[in-house]
Amino acid sequence: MVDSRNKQTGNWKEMVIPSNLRAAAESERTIVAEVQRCGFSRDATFAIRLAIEEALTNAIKHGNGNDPSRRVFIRYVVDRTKAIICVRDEGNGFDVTTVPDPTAPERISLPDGRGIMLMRAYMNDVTFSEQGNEVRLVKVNQ
Amino acid sequence: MSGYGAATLRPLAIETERRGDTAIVHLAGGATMEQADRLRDALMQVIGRSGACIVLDVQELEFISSLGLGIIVAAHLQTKQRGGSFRVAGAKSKVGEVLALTKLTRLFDLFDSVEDALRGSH
Repeated sequence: MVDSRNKQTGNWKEMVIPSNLRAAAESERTIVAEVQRCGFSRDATFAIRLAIEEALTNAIKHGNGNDPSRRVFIRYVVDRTKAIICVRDEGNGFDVTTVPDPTAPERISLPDGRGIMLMRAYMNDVTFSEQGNEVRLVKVNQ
Repeated sequence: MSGYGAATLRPLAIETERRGDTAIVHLAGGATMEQADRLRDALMQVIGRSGACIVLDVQELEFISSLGLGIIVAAHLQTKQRGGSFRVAGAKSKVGEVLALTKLTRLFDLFDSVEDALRGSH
């Protein structure tokens, strides 16, 4: 579950969770509830939920290798104009430029590899840290 | 508010019915990461015990992420490997949009409704 190190720094809120999908889902619900309170549309709420889910799944599965001893660090700020969510894992990171296009004919029937593409499709801005173990998601409330 | 933009999605509901040699799997609510194991288990169980034909009804599905998409892709492949058919019905709204963005519309046989999928007519 979301652990006791939840805290707030300025407008930013922080959560630290273990690498499991139940804890990730709980943190996702917390952020989505705030998005709703700030008046984001249904489409924007869907987009943010999807992007958070992709970021957390990647962090747990690929970043932390499903290692329950590794943690995921979440920082977010939501107001009436925008939502910014940062997700960091304790893995070695990766080079985002090497991620292949999941829609290419030779990859379309693979079960994995669509997460980054979906984040980019639904958010206004998606940036990775140089090391590649943190993603920053931005959605503007239009 | 309920539906795809709700603060809390409806839990994933999975119901299976059989019509002739076809298994119809109705999905409703949110296929979230938390529900991924349930979705995988249900589809694998249907593939394991049923005949060759599966219709996946997603008309009431409000949410799906890449994890759920991967499970459906794997189910599609396993069914095809067994010589069967795997059809997706009712992909509209946001789930239809996600399938289009990921170009899975090229992989799956898509139908407007379960009845169309059973008839095999688009």
